[in-house]
Amino acid sequence: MAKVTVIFDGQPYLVSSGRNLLEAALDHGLDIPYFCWHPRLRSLGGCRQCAVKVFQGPDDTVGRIQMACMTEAREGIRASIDDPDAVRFRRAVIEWLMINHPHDCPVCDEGGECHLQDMTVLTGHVTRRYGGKKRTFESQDLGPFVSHEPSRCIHCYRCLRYYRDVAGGRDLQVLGSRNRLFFGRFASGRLESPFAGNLAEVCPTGVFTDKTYGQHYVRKWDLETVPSICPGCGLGCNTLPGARQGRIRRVQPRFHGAINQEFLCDRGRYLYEAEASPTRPRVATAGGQPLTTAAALDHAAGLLAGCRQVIGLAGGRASLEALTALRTLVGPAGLYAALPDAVHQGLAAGLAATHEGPPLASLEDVRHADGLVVIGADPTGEGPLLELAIRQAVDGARFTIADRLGIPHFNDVGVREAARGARHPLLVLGPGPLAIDALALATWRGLPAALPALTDRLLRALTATGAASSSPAETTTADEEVVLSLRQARRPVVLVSAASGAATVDAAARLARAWARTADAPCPLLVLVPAPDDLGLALLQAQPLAAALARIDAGEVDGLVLLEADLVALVGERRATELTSRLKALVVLDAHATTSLPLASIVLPAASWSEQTGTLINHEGRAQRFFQVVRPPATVQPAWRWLEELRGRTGAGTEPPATSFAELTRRAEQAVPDLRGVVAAAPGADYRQQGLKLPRQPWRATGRAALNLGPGLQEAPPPPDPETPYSWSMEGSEAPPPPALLHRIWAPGLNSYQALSRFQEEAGGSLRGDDPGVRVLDRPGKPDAAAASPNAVHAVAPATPASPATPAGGTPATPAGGTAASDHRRLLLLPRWHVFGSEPVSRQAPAIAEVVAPARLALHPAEAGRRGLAAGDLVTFALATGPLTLPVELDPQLPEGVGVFPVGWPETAGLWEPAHAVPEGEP
Amino acid sequence: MAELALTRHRHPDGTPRSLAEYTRTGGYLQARRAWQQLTPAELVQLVSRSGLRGRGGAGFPTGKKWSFMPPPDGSPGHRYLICNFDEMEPGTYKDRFLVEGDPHLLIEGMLIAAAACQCDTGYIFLRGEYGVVRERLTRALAEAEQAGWIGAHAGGSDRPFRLHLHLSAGRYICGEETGLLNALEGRRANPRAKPPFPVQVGAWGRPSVVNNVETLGNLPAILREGPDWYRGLGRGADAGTKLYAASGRVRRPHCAELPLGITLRELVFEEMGGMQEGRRFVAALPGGGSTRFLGEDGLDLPLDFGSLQAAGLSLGTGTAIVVDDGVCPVDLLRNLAQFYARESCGWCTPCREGLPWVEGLLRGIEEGTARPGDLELLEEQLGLIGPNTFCAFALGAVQPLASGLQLFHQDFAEHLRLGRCPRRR
Repeated sequence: MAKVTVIFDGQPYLVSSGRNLLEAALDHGLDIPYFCWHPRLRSLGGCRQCAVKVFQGPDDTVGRIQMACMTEAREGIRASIDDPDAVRFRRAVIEWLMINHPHDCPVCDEGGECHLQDMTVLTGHVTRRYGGKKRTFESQDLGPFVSHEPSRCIHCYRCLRYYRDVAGGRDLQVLGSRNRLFFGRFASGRLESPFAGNLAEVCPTGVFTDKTYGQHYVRKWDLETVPSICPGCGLGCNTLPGARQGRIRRVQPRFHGAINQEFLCDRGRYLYEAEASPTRPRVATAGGQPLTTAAALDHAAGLLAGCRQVIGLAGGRASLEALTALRTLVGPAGLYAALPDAVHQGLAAGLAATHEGPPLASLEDVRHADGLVVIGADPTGEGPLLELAIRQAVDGARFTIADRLGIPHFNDVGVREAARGARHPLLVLGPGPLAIDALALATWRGLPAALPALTDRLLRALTATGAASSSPAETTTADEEVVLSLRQARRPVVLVSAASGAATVDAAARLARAWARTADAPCPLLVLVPAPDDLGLALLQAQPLAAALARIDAGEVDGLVLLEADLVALVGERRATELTSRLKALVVLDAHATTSLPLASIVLPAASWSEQTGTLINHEGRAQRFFQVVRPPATVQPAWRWLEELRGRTGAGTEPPATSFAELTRRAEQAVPDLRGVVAAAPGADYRQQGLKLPRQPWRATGRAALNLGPGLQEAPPPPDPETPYSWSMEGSEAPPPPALLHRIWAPGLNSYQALSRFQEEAGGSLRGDDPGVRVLDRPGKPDAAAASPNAVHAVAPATPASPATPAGGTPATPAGGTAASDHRRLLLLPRWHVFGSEPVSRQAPAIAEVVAPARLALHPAEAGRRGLAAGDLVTFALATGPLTLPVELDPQLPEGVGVFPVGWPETAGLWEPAHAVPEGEP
Repeated sequence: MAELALTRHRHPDGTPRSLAEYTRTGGYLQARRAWQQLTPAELVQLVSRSGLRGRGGAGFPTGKKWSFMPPPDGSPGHRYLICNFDEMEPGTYKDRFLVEGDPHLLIEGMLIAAAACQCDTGYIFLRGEYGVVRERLTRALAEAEQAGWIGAHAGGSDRPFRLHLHLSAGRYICGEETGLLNALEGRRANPRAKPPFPVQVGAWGRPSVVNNVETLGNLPAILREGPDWYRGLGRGADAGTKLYAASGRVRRPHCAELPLGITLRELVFEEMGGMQEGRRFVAALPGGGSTRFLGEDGLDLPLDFGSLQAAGLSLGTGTAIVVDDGVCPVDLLRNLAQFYARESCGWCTPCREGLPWVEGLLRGIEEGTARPGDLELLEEQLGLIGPNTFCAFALGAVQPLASGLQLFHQDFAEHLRLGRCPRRR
């Protein structure tokens, strides 16, 4: 990136070209107050807070007040932040903004981390001169996630621009005019966007705040915080949970340039409340009877010792360390993945493909893509933040037009005006309908079984020499336009869901390889996975679920260790009960109450993500460390510790039981070549800064209530933390930590989330020292490395006989929908992933539970009409997993011949893949 | 009688001229010429040479504005000519006067401008309260369409110019060029960032040129009589005639076309017949609400763009609001401040928050509830609000207020001394 020199108050500063003066100042830690500018929203020029004096040419001594955010940082431009006129004007702006802002900071949830507070102090406005009344508004009920207090509004338009332009929401609006602008909904009601929670950080003051935080509120300065990773899907968004007194109070996004930037989806933000769920197993139990830790270990060891053959079945919620401990306990061949078959096969296909072709895509690749094909995936339901990334990519199309007209990118209003017709080459392949359909240049509808063929058709069109319509029988004119625009992409990305199965993922990988050749540029492949450590499972070479079930059915296996997985949800209650009846022992380790707990011989209560430290590998193969923020009761311990202590008793393996998670990270790295580098995901326990640990608690600048005082008003000494670089106190180094350990977004004078810019290379850009985590599948000369590792993932061939085989290079399977006509009574049941409800743990968070819709079967109205069904009628199918009864819901956007059911609901346990079925009772 | 560009054939009683009457006096011949004989470049040059400056208030040279329109690049979509008929400037009614009497003049003017700017679609953005104008324009548009002047064969050519009448939902900010574009599209009437300028990215993202009614009304005469003739109409450096008007306690408040550059004294004491019995001239806002006050010492300043600009003033719309000695200047300023505070779109801080505060301070002084230091605070606020806002709205709003504060400082002092308005008991 070319650099230019700008001069602030006589001092030269080097900044990237194309930035504005506000960004230039923030890049260098210079204080210019601002409100409406935001790194993702860019400049508006509305709040007028970032006024500076700008001088024209070398001889200008008078200068002119200009908004820093609207002034390009051109080479040699001279500006003054300290100019008295500019200082006076900025102070006036704050005074105007404070005219109507209530003086309710002491009872405001934003107090203590309020950008408006910080900016007011910064500009030096201290005395109130306005003598009139303040305008007030009635607050709205915006649902369980976001609180609304519009009387505090300073009209910066950030909420609206975020909600509509970035998140694609429609139901937040600005109403009224003049000094009675009202930002809210037309009427009370839940904010529809699944990204509404981000308003809490986007809003510079307390209009939009985290409602769940407010229900168990403490001030920011009382929060103990550490870096964490969201467990809500496979994207691995970085989070910053804050706890006090053993309870998580809220989760904020932690900036990661390649993943989530400043955002989280509402599933990821609000699932933390499940940590406090009273249904969680907190003591070991066997047959409902509580056991001490030692007794539980003895009992479990005894149970396993009585089995002929024990295997482990682990879910993608388990940390790499817990998986490694299980793998050691049951042996490498005894580790099985609790993944639906299609997901496992799709994931294996995606990983196998990386050895010769497309690298795995990050969300940053998606955001910068100038050509996107989404195949058989529902980004919104499967990895919600991916929808946001796609929206950002689509939004990026406008810069091409802005460049042509010479409008700087930061001029957001100008760019949006100029580029209204901008269309982004986004093509969606799938049965639809999806939230991203509206963004797409085109949608090619196809039922799941038809997607490989549809993808190959696109491949042929894309790589055909000459006109796109070289095969006129295949493509229409509208399709041609799409293909032509996709061909122009220079940063293409292909996106596919692992759940769409191996054949579709293979086809997507073929497409990515071919597109890379056409574009003469890498074309990364994004393979969506449902859980935060599914890649950890795959890279540890966990075997497919079907194989495990086959071994149990055959009576070969009679002992099962179920690690953070729900057998009932996976295979359905009937099948789970049947399997359990064949087992002598079912040892369940879980942090959460699952539907499988009642089947267990013994339940060992595991620490959840907030109660332990470990490593997760996200969809792009990025190993990331999450840290313990809450100390669980002594009866709860990390799954890896249970497993290692259990192994100590059963005598399996040769290594002595690990006493720290880090030993297991190392063990994983040594066991599997593809996991090389995972130890380096973050600095280890011995990391010190200036010889000190990093404090979980912030510096006690303002006093803190004496909640933990013992008798004699003495504070108990903080417990040691031998596993991480963090202390359980405020003692430690206050210097900025390395990015993987960034545990607090705070800087002197900047108490709000906007302090983030102080930790970034450039305001809004990557963290200083680069974005954290280690991409384990990115190695120079990777094909060779793969060849040299006989254990590489592609060796793990899907073992299920049920695998829909696609002959290599041959004709893909017949579209399932195409054959449905042979039996008019048959419906193709299709799974759908929902933001709220499909992920099992988040369902248990009260705020999320409130918005989880009841399970329904969605049908096209014509389809329902043909079957004499109306909305609300119950329809029943006899399936292999048992009877499925759901009320009918009508959706005119669906194709006929299909019924869509929600994945992950208790009613739909065991149902993960498309299936044909005939409603019972139909003639 | 001096030569006229706008109102030569106007009926004395102000009833509208029909298409037949309009064409009888040579109407639409210039539109035909513009579409059939002259090239766009020739038209732009001709209007540039005439010295015509925008009559909406800012006085930007019309030909120059047109020359910024990019040539058609073959991209799909319309090119728009938009007539700013919002006319919400306080005290201003010149455009209404002009079009109520001669609606076809505007249509022909728009045809000429559209030919010059190569626009295929036009909108008349009409102030919502102008019911009579709406009625007369609707009829005139139907007549012009029937006669084939507008529509598929504009000016008898083989190119189209479709002209639509759009009724404003009614905010002062809708008269701001970019706020108007947003309002026309059915969005909030917030101003837009410049760049991009409307000629590049205007209505619906397409090249658009926005002209005032009176500006457009001058075009047929300029084409008919030539640019030199038009230049000669002005009394001073500025070309043409101007629709001047006055309101307030003058004897004959009305609108009249006069040579550009007459003095305020001529306007008030000759054209308007002087002050009403028992009333004394105190000051005037020469061009609507957003101009600075002229006191008695300004009576002999020529009311044209250049002379007023040189004196740090502006002509605005040329429709004077005359203040007499029966008016409380503090209350007048309060009234103006109330208008601007109410009409602010709320987009940027100084305008949205500053103007209501100013209104409150003025109200306090008028009603006797002012606190010590309020006058200084008022002065400070007016200095801070004006120059640093997103659009020109607040800059216009502080013109009468800041100059009024200076001009009427004795009245303010008297209010503060008495703790009430001296005109009230």
